[in-house]
Amino acid sequence: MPPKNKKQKEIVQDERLQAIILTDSYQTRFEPVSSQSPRCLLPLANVPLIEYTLEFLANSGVDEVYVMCRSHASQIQDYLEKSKWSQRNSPFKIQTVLSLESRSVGDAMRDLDNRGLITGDFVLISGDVVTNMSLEPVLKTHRQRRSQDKDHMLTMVLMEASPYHRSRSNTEPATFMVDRATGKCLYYEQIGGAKKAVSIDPELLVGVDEFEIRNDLVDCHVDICAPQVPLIFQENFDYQELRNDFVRGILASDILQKTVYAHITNQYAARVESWSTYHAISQDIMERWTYPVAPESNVIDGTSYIHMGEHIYKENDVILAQTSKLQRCVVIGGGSFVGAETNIVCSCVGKNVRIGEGVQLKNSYIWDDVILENGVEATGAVVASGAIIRAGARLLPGAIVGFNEEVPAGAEVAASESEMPQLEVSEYAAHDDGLFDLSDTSITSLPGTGSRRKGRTLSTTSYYSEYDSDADGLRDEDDFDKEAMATVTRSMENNHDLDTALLELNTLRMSMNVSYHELRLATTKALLARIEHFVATQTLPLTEATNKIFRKWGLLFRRQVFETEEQIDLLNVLQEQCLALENRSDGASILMRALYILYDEDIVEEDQIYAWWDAPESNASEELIEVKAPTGKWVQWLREAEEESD
Amino acid sequence: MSEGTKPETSQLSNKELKELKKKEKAAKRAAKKESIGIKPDSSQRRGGDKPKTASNIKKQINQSKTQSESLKIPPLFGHLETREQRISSTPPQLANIVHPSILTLCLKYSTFKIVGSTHRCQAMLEAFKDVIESYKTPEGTSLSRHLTGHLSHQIEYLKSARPLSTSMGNTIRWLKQEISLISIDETDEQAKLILAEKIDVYIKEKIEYANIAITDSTIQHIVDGSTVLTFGHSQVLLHIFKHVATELNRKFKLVIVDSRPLFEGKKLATELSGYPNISCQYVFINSLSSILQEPVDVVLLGAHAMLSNGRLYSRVGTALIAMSAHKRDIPVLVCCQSIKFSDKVQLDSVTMNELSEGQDLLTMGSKPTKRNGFALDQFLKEKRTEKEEESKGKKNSNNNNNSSNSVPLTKPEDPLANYREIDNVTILNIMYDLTPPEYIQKVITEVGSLPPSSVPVILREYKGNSSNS
Amino acid sequence: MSQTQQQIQEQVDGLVYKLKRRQLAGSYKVAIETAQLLMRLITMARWKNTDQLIELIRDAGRQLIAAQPREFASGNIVRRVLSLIRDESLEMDREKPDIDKNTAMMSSMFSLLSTTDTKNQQQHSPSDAKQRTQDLRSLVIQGIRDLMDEISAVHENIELMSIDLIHDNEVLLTPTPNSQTVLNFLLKARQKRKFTVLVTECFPNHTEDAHKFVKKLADAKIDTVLIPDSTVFAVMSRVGKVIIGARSVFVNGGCVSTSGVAAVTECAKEHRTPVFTVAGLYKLSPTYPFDNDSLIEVGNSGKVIDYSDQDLVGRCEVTNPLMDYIDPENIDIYITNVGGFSPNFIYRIVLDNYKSDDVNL
Repeated sequence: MPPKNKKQKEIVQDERLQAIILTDSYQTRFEPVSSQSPRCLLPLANVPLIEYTLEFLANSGVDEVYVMCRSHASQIQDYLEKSKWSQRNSPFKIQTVLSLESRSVGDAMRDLDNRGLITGDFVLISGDVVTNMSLEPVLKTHRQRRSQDKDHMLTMVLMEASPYHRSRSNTEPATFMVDRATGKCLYYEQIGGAKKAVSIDPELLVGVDEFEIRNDLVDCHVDICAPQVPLIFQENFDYQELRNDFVRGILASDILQKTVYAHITNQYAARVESWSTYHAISQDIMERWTYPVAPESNVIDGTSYIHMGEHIYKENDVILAQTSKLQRCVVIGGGSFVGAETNIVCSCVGKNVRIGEGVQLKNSYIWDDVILENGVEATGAVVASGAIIRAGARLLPGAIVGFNEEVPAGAEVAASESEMPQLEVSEYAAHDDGLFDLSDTSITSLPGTGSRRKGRTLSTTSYYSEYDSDADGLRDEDDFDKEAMATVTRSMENNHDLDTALLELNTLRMSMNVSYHELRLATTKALLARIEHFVATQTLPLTEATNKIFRKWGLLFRRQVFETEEQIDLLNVLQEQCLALENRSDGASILMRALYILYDEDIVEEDQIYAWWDAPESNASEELIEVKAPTGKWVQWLREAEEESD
Repeated sequence: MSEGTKPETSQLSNKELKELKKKEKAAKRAAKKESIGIKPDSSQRRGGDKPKTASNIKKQINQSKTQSESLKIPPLFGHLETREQRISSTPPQLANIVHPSILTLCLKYSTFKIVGSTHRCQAMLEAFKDVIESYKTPEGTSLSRHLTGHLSHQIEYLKSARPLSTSMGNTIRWLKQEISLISIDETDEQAKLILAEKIDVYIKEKIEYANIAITDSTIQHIVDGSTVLTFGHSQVLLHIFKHVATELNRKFKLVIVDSRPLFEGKKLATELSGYPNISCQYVFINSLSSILQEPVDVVLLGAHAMLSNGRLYSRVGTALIAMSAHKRDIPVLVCCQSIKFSDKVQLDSVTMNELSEGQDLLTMGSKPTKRNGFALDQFLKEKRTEKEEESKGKKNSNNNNNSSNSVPLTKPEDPLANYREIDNVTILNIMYDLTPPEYIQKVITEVGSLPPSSVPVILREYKGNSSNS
Repeated sequence: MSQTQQQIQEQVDGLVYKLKRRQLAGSYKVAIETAQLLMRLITMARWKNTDQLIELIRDAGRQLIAAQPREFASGNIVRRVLSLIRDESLEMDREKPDIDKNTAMMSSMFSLLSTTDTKNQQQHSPSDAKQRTQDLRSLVIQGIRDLMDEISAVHENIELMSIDLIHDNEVLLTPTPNSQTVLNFLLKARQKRKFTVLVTECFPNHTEDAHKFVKKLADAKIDTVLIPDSTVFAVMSRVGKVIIGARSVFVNGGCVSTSGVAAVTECAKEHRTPVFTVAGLYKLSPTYPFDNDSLIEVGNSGKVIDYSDQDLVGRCEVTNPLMDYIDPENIDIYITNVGGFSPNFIYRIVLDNYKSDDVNL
């Protein structure tokens, strides 16, 4: 044991520092790769992720480590047994804990409580943290606080970055409110992309002199917890998430009076929780933001990386053709061969990789034992072990090639949203920020496998469905669209009361926080779809169908249109949707009839009709004009009628 | 406020004792002021004037405070003015007649928001335009005679923020000459218009067109695929790099060397890292030798002034770069507008220089100094001491009241945090240094390219001409 | 044997991991720990003849050097111990009566020219051999103890020369405030001389150290001035001497020191200012500095640009070399605990303390 630990022992009554590593994040962001290999063993700069965490713990003077495993637990166990951490001269005692029934962090904590492994303050960390910071000062302040304040539960370690930083998670960005003088955390909220403001209860600010609201922190999920933490999880059975449930729960609860502190460090600490953070952190390691954690430390026995100018790391048995170029930020593992005229920049190449001639690699990660044939181009792609990429293939940003897959010659692999069957689906995985090279969706679509229908499989791991509510606006609208249309269609089919339908629609609108424009759009679409349905099934001819539908259900618009501009908007929407129908002439006649009915029912007024007619939007394209044409006569009549009446 | 010890004679009567003490105090004060550089008559004026505005009172307080603090500069540079001295040497009643634009400008100078010879000069001219705009000729004198004096007051105040740069000095001389050339027949409005126009033309000619001319001469040195090294930030160099990257579409690598405490290179890096044709590398001056291991094609430097004996007076660190490049046979080029030429001669960086705050060197981060105005600093200090005394009193009364007696975040103490109180420690923070002409290959100006030894030729030829035009 | 081999391997691994994790940093600590490790190895190991022992130590040395290739102190200590072993072994052979003089002389000539493989294997009876290994063991362990004492006493010997080198009212410049040796050197000189010291702040890697250094000097009543790195050229004309600390000294007389020092020494050369390097003997390495890349450690880029600076992170290349290589032409004198030498004489000191066989482990 390192001597400094003995000092800690004297101060803190023989407490051995324990650490819990959560190797499963209970998410599925790393599909399809994580279906065959546990997440924490995926290589980052050719070193398995868990090694980074273990090295960090070794540096921090931890005495006992418990690795909580769920998926692929046997692989993790095997790996750890063979590694240097299980040898006699390992700085700590390591043990794997199989927690196969747990479905979330909360379950893991409850399991931990049941096994009674915790004896004192412990470090709770996830198995994919990359950091170069020293935990000593954080431990010291944590212990000091604990000795003064028995209710101190948790110290979170956060790294300062900036809001749009590449290492900042774009899947769980969060805001923290921190008391400046003491570091106490007062408020925590996860913010989705659309949310721009948080509302804070003024009672939280009692007794606080200065506070900071920070949106620029990277949450590296390194926490120092008091021994009571698993107990709290046990008591609150519905706590699943650490941050979203536990921290929020503690901060919000007045009764418990527990405190959480945030330790903000300006050293490097980040977590690999999605492909984009994987990419960002790989780049950071290569560019030496994480020194002294660097490939040339050779933490894995038997590796021999050396660091050369322009941030190139290669082992000593790498064969490079003379005309090949390693431009900058490249890691190449031993036994690899790089062919002529190949350019590699900002990429990681594993061991025993054969790269052919004329290959262009940029921002890509090639794992062990891969063959890239001549002329392959990969940008922002990940190729897992054992894969073969045939000549001339192109891997576009976000592409992921799974273990032992083969990409045929000349194929193009792009990031796509199709999911594999019988695996848990993350609705959230469909999110693509567009700011980074790698998108989060990156689930491969291998040509020839075809895409499966998007289905929502009922799985027990769908806790993250709570993210839906805070997902970004784009998805809201899609969802809302479908929901609203479904509602209207349902109402029409089941012949609901108009008021009921209106109530449903409004509630839906408010819950999803969309504007009336969307509502109008959805309603219009639903009505037109219904008309088409009638026509297609030959229940009613077009004219009668239009009349019927619009006479009854057009009244929905009454509660959706309030201002004059909205009326014009409605007309525009109607025009566009009629245009979008398959049968153009149908659309035109529907437009005419619908317009008449709306006018008749006083939903739109003449002035607005004229305004819409003359406005440039409605005449923007030939098709629009075409679709308006039959209505023209009627509008003309209307104008004349008005003049007559004037 | 005096540190003198009172004589212990108990034989004199109380009255005489008091008088003696008063005399000694006055003498000591006068001596101290002389050593700091304030003339004795101005100090009497200061004491005699009734403080009219709050700023005057504050200034008096500040002066008395600065006198009691030791100066804390190394003896080698003891002859240079410190910031406190600069500020205390301005008579306070000037505050009444200084134009608000000049006040703002001063604040920007002293807090390093406007930094860089050309930038300062341009900002000064803009401020002068404002001054001239709101100037009214008093009765009994003409614009061409009085305006110069008025401007001089403003310039005096400007000096309290930072000493005038060479470009500013040349510009002021030119402006004063232009003012004196205005005929008496012109009305105020007409004269103002003329002057405003002249200033605009000057800025255009001497700064903007000069930049373009210099760019044209320099672009031949930046070829496709070359590596260029530069130090700090220079307006004309920024113009050159942008031009090469966008108009001429050449790809090159730019190594930006930066130094503390101003971190001017960061500005350049931020501006240029967005251009796809420029691949930027940002390093500190301590890694100079390692950087020069990679092949560098040319070193481009900006200037504060070119002295008459061919020496380059520029941001501190430039000399180090020029020497290292010279040793490795890398050509060093200096881009300098002609307004920066000076007829001074100087042999080393010690005799004439500008001293800056030693405090700036105590911050550890790599962010540029954020400095408050002088008055604001004093105000904050007062408030802080007040607060501390308050909290000390409070602490004694409620010791164990807080149940959540949270442990404050501790940050490791810098041993030099109060370096002013530590004996034998001084911090040197000079702003400029002198580069010998042997290290410079070429000086590029808008009137042509020349070796550094030919600077006096330009001065003679063009200064003579421009003063007549 | 395999059990002891395992134990030995574990011991070596312990130090190797510490080096890899940079828990052990600084030549002094590394040197002491390496010496202690070697002492333990020699106590634990079992060998039949000197060559086996040498091979064992060499193996350990290779691993230690691979752990932190730019920390030369561990390699130096290993080579010193090897040289010690060879010397002791030779001494013992010379004392043995059953070797005739010819072979004795030849073996000493041979040892200069031959490699280990072709070394003469001495034939001894088993009991003699055992006795021999015992003796060798105790001799070598004694030698290592002496070596450790020497390392700990490095400062005292260097300080003795300080008074001769500095005169009154001198202005000194030191660009390596992280060097303990330089600090002791100056503090000792202060006892008899009064001078001023300019200290560069070595931003960004050693600024805290620089501040502590300045404070310590000030406490010892030395006039100290803290200057930023860029000011060096400006003040050099007024500086009398430059004193630097080195991390490692090479056989050609060049050395590796903190980054920024190379520029300072070049500056000093331009102004004809003398440059002293103070370094303990354990920092002297018999290797030749061929390749700059392999000498210079590159550190944390986060110290150059703050990670939260989103404009620059990822768009600008950043590098933060921690060290500089200094040409022998730029150094005037090396001050070590065995005396002062000029750079062109360093090779001789190397020859005295190391054996050429051991240069490539």
